Amino acid sequence: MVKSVPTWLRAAAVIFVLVTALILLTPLFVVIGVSVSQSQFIAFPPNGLSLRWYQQVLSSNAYLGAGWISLQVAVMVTVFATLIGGAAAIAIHRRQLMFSDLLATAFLSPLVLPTIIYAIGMLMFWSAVFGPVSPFTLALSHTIIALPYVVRTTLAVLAESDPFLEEAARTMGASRVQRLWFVVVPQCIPGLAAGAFFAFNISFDEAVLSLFLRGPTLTTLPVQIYGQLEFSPDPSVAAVSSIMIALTIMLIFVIDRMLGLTRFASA
Amino acid sequence: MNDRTESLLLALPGLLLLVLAFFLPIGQMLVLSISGPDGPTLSHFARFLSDPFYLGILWRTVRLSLLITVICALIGFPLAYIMARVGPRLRLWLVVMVILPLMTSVVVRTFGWMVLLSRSGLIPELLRDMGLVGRSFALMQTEAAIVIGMVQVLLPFMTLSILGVITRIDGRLEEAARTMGCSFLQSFRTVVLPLSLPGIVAGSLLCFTLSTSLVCDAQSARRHANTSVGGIDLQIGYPNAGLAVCCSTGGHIIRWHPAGTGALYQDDGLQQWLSQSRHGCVRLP
Repeated sequence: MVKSVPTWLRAAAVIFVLVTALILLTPLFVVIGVSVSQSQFIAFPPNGLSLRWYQQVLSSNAYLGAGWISLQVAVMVTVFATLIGGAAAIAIHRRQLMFSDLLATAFLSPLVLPTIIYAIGMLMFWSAVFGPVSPFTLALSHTIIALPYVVRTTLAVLAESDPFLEEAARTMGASRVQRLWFVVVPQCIPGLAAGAFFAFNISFDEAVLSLFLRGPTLTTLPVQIYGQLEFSPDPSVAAVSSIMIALTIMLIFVIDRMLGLTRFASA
Repeated sequence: MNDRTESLLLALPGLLLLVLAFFLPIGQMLVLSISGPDGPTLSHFARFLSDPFYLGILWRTVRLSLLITVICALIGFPLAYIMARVGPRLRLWLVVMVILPLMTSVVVRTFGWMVLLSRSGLIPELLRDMGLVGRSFALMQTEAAIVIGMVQVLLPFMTLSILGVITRIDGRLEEAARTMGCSFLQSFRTVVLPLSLPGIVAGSLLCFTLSTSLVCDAQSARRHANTSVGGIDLQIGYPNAGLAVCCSTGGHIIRWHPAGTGALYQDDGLQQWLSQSRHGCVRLP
């Protein structure tokens, strides 16, 4: 193996990565920095060090209430998206339906439609047909935008699965349901799990749909943050945001454990 | 029950959900966009396409999306190459670094940029202290801010698309080029770059598609922030029917329009991306 990458190029690569990291991550660090500030105002670099804003967040009914709603919606979305998306991915993978290409496109299409357009459409449609929006409406619409991720992660796992396992189960006399439940689903589990965590994260962080489909008692955490930012920004916003960042980081590592992040690239 | 029925049963809940909660709402918007007081009409589209204001926004969306895509490719390609060549541990950290902004909530990200870029923010203050810019200089709510923010979000799509292709390039090709006397840069340019072109193309399509839709979100959010009361305008037009609904619920005043044309033209890119990513390695030219 010829390994002589010129030293200056290696140095350039290191600098390049560092600068990219700086640009990508600075906004997040800044948020965390602001959240531990002592001052009344949003200031960076922070003056003083205190956890008072975290304390304020954890004793604020507005944040806790919004967080509770977000959590409920996110759990619903996780369950819906994983079950529905997983089943759909298995169907797409089997390629027995004449239109399975079209099916795959249909399931991934929410990814490319501007969320804001979908949000407006959903709001108009739902209020015209079913009346006022509820947490369930929000969960359904979040499920729609989370589906592509579950379908994709599950397909990624299925692509590497062994088709003969199912064949073997069949020859040994397993019924359809048994084959599905004991052979196919266990093979999908890493993909399903990764998809589930994606779905949770998407729903928990989603702002545009939640903004349009909100009601007097239906305010999710991102919408609460948004409102706070607009009307009275103080470091408590940064504290909530930091908590959300921490949650995201945790989920990323869980997803990596489940499936390996880099595998999505090659799926 | 045969195999086909089983597949259909498996896909059915998803299909039902998609139709009820996605295609019907979108379809309704499409129908609205061609319906007038007396029968079907193209007048909304005509108004959109003849209004220089909307055309300006449309053009800006395309222009910014192109710019964002190019920047993503310029950063994403070397980054993907570096990722492919470092050890697995470091690669994981790089992937986390690239993916973290995408997975963070948009409000959190925007908050971070606000602290950095707004008039009293870190970067304008710094530039002001250095005497480079005037007193009223701000970066927030400028095109530059949109581009920076979008690149931050879209970089993972580009980088991971390219990474998928680069990891499949036979390492011996590069070695052969080197043994035959190529310098590193030469082999990079004549071997790695052409072979990873499919990844770059797939990533660019994806980036462009996503950024046209996200720029739309960004601009509307920006408008909303700018003019909370009189904020008339996304780049999306609106016949009056839905206007009332939006007014009453969100306090947003929105005019919408050719959501449909956008969606249709975007599907092309998706189709290509799908067919390429489905075959794992994208076909080589």
